[in-house]
Amino acid sequence: MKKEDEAKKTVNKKVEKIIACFKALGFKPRVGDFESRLIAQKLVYLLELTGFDFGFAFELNARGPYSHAFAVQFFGNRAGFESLETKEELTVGEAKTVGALKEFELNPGRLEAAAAYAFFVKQGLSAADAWRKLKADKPFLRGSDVCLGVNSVKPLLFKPTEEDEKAMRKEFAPWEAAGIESLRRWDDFK
Amino acid sequence: MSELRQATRQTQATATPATDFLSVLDKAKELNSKVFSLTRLELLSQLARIFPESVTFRELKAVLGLTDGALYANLKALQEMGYARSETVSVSGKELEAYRITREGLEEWARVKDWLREFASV
Repeated sequence: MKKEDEAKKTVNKKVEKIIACFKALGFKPRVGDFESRLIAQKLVYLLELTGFDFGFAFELNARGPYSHAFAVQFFGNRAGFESLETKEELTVGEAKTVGALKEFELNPGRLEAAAAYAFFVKQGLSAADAWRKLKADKPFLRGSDVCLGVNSVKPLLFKPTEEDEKAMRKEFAPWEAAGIESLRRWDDFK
Repeated sequence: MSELRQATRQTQATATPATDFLSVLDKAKELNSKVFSLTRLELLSQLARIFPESVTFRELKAVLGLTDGALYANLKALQEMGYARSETVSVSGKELEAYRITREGLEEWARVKDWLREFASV
């Protein structure tokens, strides 16, 4: 019984954290509304992609990446999700992470495209194959939503390693220095 | 060991594969034969996986690769059997038809799956 209570507490905390994320994104869902549920599912998937650990397993089905466990919590905590009342707060780091998802503008088409594309990449498909599969599986999505959704999710998927960043700094350093120098000379010229 | 248990064990030991096969086939009488098309089984499978959520017509079409006519006809059949229900939903300002499996649909799907597993293991 104690273990069950502990597990319940953990899930509740995670649900409260999701509500805090939704609040930060300005997303007030209506549990009875299809579009709201779609946005909620995709947001939770993308939040997990950014590093949040809610522990909801997502699998691919006709609706794209979907978590039955999250759906159960979403329906079961209707009052919390619809009121956005939560005991959890986001840390500064978490708020910044969540802020990255504002780019999707809560657009269901973009979120659907982004989540499906990310899922395919995580499964091991190359960027090109993931794009092709996305177009094949979701032919009904608007081209603009697909492009914007995929472009917005790529920074979450393809993060440069420390080595990449070091190499980039080394490569760009002379150009940056030249740029600063030319700005100084422009001031002298003026 | 009781006499009844002994007798049952003897019967099981001497049962032929044909008997098992026939008895499994016999169980099919308890199922709704109208769901036994590949399309309808796939539909029930997709809808059951996403329960209690619903799936739009266009999503089902993309996943199953069916024509509008074939998909609509089979969904209508499942609705008439009481295994699926439709509703109109709005996504990005568009009104779409969405389908959800009913409790009866879930029960029938569970029965069909169990039977198929038994059939495959004979």
